Amino acid sequence: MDVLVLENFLSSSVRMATPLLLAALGLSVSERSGVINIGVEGIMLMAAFGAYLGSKMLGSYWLGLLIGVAFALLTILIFAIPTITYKANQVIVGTAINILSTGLSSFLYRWIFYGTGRLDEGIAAATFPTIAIPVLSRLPLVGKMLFNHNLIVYFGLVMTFILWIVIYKTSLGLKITAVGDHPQAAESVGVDVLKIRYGSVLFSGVLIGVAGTFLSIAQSSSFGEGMTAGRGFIAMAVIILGKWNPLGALGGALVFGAASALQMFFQTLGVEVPTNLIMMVPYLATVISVLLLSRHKVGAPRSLGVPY
Amino acid sequence: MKKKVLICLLVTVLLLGLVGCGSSSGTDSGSNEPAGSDAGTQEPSKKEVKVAILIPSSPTDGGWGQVGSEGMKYVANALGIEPVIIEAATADLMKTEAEALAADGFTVIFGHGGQYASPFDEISDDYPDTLFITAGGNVVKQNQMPMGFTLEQLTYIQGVIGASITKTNKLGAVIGGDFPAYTKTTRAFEMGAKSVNPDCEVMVGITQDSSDMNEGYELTMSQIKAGADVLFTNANQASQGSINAAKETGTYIFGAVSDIQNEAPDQVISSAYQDFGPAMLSVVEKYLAGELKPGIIDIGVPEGGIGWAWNERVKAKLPAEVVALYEETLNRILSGEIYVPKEQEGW
Repeated sequence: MDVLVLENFLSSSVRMATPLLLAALGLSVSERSGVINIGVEGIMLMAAFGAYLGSKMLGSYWLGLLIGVAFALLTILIFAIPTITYKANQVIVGTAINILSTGLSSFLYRWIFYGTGRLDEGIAAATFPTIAIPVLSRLPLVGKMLFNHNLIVYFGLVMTFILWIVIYKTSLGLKITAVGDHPQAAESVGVDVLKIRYGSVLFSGVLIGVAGTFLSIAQSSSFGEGMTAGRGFIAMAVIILGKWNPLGALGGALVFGAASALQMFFQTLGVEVPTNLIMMVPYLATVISVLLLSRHKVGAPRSLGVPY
Repeated sequence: MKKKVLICLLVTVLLLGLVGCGSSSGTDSGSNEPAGSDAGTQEPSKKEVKVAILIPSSPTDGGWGQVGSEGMKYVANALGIEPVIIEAATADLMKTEAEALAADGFTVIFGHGGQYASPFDEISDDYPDTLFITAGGNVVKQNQMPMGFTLEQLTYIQGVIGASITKTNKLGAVIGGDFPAYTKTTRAFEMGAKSVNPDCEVMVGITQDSSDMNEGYELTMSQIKAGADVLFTNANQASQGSINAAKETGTYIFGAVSDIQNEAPDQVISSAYQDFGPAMLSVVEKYLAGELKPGIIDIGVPEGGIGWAWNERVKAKLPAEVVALYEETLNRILSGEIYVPKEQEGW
């Protein structure tokens, strides 16, 4: 087997893992604070659209990123206000967000781009370029796998370690975890529960926004209706697999990313294995991990999904 | 108090969601309203004709769904009627939407894909005054029949040309699903390639989700890394990802269903496109004139429902004998010398 093919499999795994990682990192913070947000799929989709809109209309991928994140924040506010301030059921509002975003992003895309002549010159928008890190990118296998990507991939990797430090080594991390485990106790020692929850959810909105941006104008160069293709839900499985730990999220995202890359790798090599079977593996891993979790009572924040 | 505010908020969110979902048909019919009302006043006799199309993917997908909805608009313009475009991707939706239209007295209902054949089959007997047409599929009844687009003939020629210019003897193809409408195009591509170059290998990748361009990108990229130097894509939105990979690596690529040359003017060799409008219109007109006989409606190059679009910029760089392969192979196919099996023939 060719080294090039293997290298591409490894770097493809990292690329496929990146949106899952970013969304899972965001979700791990908001879930640690006790808020479960299944609207992540829709928020990512809105961000993907916003990023494409910004990049296509203004010609800059940085502005695309900015507008993508802004779209994510606006959408997540529609989730945060009812669930945090008004104590609505988080799962129901999250579902509403998914329905809203699917319709709204398609509507806006058709309204602004379809049949308006804006796509006549081609759909492609400005995208984040690949930046090869000097020296490191020339390492065999690992070089292409980790050090030859666009900025958002590097951002995801760096963010994993920053978040790990924030969550496990700072008082802010302790407060977030306390609010998610036992909000009454946290408040009794002077922690503002609602403020922490809003902060965590909005922060997750930024990371989900970057994940959506990655889909439309970093790995790809255009928006397509429903292009998130279930990645938001997979990100929720990634957190469970990663036990709400940023490093675990990195591992979980890589497992799912590698499974996606593996089924493509097999197709390219002509290996006769049903692709659906390969895609089942990470889900099985998630189910097994959930089973193990419930036996050892670690991981899930104890007040997850409970309004305060 | 808080509860009231919350209820108001939730209602707003849901209403906005409904606006979003329902918008597509609104904009579609809106843009065509002038044509509809104009012709309506001139030709009142045709006003009773009602035609609809059910499409399985978004009308903006740059592929299958888009050419279908554009076909509908063409028919509507020509007949001076409202275009009715409904997205119905699952079997239950296909059946219920078609049944609602038939009960509403629609004259012709198009199902955009072979997958509509069996849901239509379940209801077509109950509505003998409605004609059910599927693009592909193999159910033939008095009032239900498929249009058989011989797009595979053109992707065969793409295979012939691809195998003639490859230096690595490896071609890569990506399609958006594993049912006949897709697989016939890659199998014909492979058949064409092997007909001129038996050592040629064709790698075929099938996306899990044809709306996911990132998957299209990764599949095509893995084929390029495995040595493919001529590519083929037929995967709706996911095609955009394949095109990106071709652009990034400067690899030649063929398109199918819609013309993709604007997306990569330096890489696209040609597109085997489908032009549904004239084909759909001729079916409706034949039906109204009482000339339509039950059977598979063949639509090929002579009928004008499919076509070959060279990208002139890349064509100019190809050797003349490669360019000549198009006419040559097409003539051999049309004369029957080369036989490319059709969609209904067990691809």
